[in-house]
Amino acid sequence: MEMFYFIARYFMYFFIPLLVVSVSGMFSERSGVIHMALDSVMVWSCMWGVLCLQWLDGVVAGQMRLIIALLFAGITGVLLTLLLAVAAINLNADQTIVGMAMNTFAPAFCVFFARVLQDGSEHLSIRNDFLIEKIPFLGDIPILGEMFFCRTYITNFIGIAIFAISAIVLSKTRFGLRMCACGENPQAAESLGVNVQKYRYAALIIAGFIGGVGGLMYILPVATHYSQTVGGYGYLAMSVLIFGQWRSIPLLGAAAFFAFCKTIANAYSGIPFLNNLGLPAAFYKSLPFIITLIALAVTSKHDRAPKASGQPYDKSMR
Amino acid sequence: MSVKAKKKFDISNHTAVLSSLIAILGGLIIAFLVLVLTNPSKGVPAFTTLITGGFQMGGMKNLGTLFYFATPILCTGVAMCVAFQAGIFNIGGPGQYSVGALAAILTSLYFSKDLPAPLTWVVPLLVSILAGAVWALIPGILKAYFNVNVVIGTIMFNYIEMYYMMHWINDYCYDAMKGQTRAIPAPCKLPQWFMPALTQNKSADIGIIIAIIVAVLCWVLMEKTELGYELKACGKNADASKYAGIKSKRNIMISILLSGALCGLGGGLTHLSVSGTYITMKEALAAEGFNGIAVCCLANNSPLAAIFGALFLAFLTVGGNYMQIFGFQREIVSVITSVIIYFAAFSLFLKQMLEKALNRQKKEVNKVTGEELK
Repeated sequence: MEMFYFIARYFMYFFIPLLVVSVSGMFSERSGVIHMALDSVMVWSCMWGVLCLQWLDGVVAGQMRLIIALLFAGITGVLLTLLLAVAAINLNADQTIVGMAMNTFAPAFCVFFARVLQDGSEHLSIRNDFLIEKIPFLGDIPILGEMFFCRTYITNFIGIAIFAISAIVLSKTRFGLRMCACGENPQAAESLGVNVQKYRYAALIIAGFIGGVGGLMYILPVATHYSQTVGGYGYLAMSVLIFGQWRSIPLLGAAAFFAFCKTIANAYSGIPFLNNLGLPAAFYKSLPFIITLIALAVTSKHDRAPKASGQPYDKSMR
Repeated sequence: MSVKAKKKFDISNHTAVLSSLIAILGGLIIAFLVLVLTNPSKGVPAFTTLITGGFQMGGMKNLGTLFYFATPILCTGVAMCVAFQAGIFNIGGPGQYSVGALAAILTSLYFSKDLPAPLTWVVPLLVSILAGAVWALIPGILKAYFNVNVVIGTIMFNYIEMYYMMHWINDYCYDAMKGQTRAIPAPCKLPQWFMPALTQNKSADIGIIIAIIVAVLCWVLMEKTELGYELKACGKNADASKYAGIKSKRNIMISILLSGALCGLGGGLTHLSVSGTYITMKEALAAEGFNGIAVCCLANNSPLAAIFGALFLAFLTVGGNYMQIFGFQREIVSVITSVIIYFAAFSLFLKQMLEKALNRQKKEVNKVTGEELK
């Protein structure tokens, strides 16, 4: 049973950042801008978040330090995403190439910057005192309490909240529906008085904030120092987005599925059955990627991608 | 008067080159700002070292180093050009490159070292080409027959390669003392011919020559043959070319396999080089694969122009290696590369703006000269 709880917690460490970052991608792509740069936003905001944690160490105590750092990471995420926004919305850029440019930029800049800050070492250490041993009342629920409300992080709940709010905003509010219209048929939306450019900017700012928060959420439970990588999570989040067909509820399932694969990949040596199979570690590590491909091969025939995604908006086209 | 004007170099016919130059300039300005803002006193000398390619420090010997850095990114750059022109965004460069590298190493270690003379290095090269193509095969099939986004497909294969690479190296060619792949036998290294004399660098080899020949061949293929025309037609408008009777599935496969093969060749050339390159046990994607995208963007998708793009980026890389002297990191080169790619993304917009501006200027000039004539 101890093993089961351990896996459940491990699962949450992977599940929450994947969910949050793919929600970030969902905002962007539903508004019609392909977001290849999720990985770079994570890497970049993660660095600023970790730096913020270091600055606040001793100044602010407890969970407040984490929350301020999350907000700061979100804001830096917005700043980086504005690069994508300007290029995609104002300059009619090829959005995939912009994404690749940003993915080259962020890790390089972060290595450069971290080494300048610390005179040669690129690893930024994280002092992590945010683990909540047990939440009162909720932690006493049998099984579930032990699974989700013990030895947990506040980020888990923030992540779920971000997902829930985003799902409602996208499918139930005027703002969300109009934004999705910009991704499906921007000309029609414009003819009904929706300012496509404004909505896409709004979508990318939200996406930047959520992506930035997701970057810091990723690093916190799994690492003791930041070294300019988020383990390809941005790309995984992109595949979650495609696998989830750009819709919130399927997205939840897709993120859970990927997080499960990832958990197996990291914890297989502790599971006697899998360890006895004698497969190489590489197999388990690449399992999420292999399964993604198989899953995409099955689902890609019926593509429900936002129709205008990736195309620069041209008012004169119809 | 009018005849003279015609003969004059007209900048508005070269907006593509101009926008590439603007991209380079943008990259250099950002790099300058980053360097100066982080350390005002050392920033300026570091920047001058960077843009003089370190030649003032290392002298002519660095020409060999330059060629060494240019070889892999020329191969991956041409690979990207071929794929982009056919409308395939092959981001699998790092994976295909590394698989090609490993294939060359394994072939030379286990098979080709006892073969007669030229085959010792030709066979590993051919195997690396094959391996690169194989690594591109599955994303290609998934794209052509299952409509899987090729960006996602190739990225997934990058990560699969990254994890399996460790496993393969560990099992077949691990040098535990040095924590890297075993050194390849001397006869399997690329021949040197006249290169050491030319570059005054003892370890220069013919890698760059092979890469340039391949780039020219690819240019011929894309510009002068029927196949190249079909590939480009698919890239411009897949639906229209389908109606015109061009087999789009076959073309997707050809372009991605060719692209993968070229990346594999890049890996082979680099790891068979005389200076000796090893794959270290590190979970990282090969930067050469991604830098190919920058070369391709600089070259505006032309394999011929990629030669200059690759030489330019290699030039910066050579300069970047001296950054440590000034207390900076060589990652500054990647920052420049990223800015160049960023600018290239809206080069079309930039081109239109330039054309508009130049036309306006021309009109004004015409107006002025017209008035004078009156």
